[in-house]
Amino acid sequence: MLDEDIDKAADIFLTLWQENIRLWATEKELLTPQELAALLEAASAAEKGQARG
Amino acid sequence: MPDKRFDLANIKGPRPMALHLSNALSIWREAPMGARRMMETLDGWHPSLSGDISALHSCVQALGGWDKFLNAVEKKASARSDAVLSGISDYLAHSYTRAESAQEMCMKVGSCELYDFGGDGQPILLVPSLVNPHYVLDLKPGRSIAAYLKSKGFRPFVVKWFDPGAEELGFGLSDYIMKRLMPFLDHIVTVGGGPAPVLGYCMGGTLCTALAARAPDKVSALALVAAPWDFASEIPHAGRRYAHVMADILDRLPDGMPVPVDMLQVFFTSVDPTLTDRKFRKFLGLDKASEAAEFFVALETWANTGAPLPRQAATEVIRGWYMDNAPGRGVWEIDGAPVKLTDVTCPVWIAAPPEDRLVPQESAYAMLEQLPDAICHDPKAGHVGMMVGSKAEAGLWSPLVTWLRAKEVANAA
Repeated sequence: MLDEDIDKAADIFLTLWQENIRLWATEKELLTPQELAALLEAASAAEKGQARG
Repeated sequence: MPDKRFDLANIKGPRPMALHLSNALSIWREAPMGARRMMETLDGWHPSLSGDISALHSCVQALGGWDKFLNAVEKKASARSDAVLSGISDYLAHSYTRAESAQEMCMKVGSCELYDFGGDGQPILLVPSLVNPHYVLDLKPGRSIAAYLKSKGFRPFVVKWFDPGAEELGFGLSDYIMKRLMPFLDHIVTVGGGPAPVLGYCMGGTLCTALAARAPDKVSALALVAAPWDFASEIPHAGRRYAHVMADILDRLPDGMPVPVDMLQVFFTSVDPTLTDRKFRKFLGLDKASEAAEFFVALETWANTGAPLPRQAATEVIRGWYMDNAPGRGVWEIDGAPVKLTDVTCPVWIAAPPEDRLVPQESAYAMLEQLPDAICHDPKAGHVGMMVGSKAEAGLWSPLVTWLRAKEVANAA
């Protein structure tokens, strides 16, 4: 049961993750490839910063 | 016979492939990092998703399985990457070949051709955008506005632009209107023995508006479908921000080089960077022999096909329309003079949905204030869906025919 719930939560997360990018792109009207890369890498940079800190 | 110039085998789509793959795969590559970050903070999420992501966070917290959750996210993100690649691969390998409706080329000027779909009814000129092929007007059986109009007693004539030839490479928009559309219009006026209705789709509608202003005695009715007109800064226009990027690239192209199709495709891709992933993963799940799969292949191939835009025409669109709003300000010059909407004396039908992200409804509807005789219509579908989607007949084609018939009766009276 736990594994099923975890799987379901992972699917929901991935759908929200993609929708988050779509919504920000909509709000900003257009996302250049550079902006998309910046949005995607924001989490990565924050994580790396925390690790270094 | 299918036109070899539009063979799927010749299309390397989705175009540009590198951008589509980069968008789709980077979304899933970075997802596990996003999931790890969600453990620490809920910053970075769009406000409309904050409730959902907060609930998910609480749920995973309650399950007490962060490690399992992160592993599941990683595994499923990788599976989604594989799925979008498989979807693209299936698309490229699909055997569907589009069949065109019966038609005959009746006129050729330069590289541009006019096709007669036949019948003995009222001729009507159908004009597509310059940047995508004509066949969104005749995509496949059941999804063809040209065939529908013929079934309702009209005689459609469809303009096919094709790649610019030696003469068109030096064309601006005025040349396309006065040296290509005008002779085509003259032809159907002769065939029909009088002024004819004209339909323009997307950018083709903007060109037709100028055509109607320059030939008010030849156009009996003007139907504009998702035709942008006002590019004012307060309108949330899809091209507004990207026009500056396009203009910058335009300046870097070698002198005289037409704007490549892939550059134009980057613009369309950027409107929704998640679309490629979503649609190809959905396609992967379709029965490949189904009409839905064939429709997808036909439409995707249409979207991935196009002609380079001559430099002068591209400059007028990118700088003149998107950046300077020349049409909306009444200073767009065609045949040596500004196009004034008050010169469009025929009845005008403006179809534009609020869902359209490429051509905002406000941009199309802005004409209403200045046109002497115009009404608007909401087709209740998106930019392409309204033309070929499952709701196209009810939302666009049928209301169009009703309007055209009413105008015929009014003109006869």
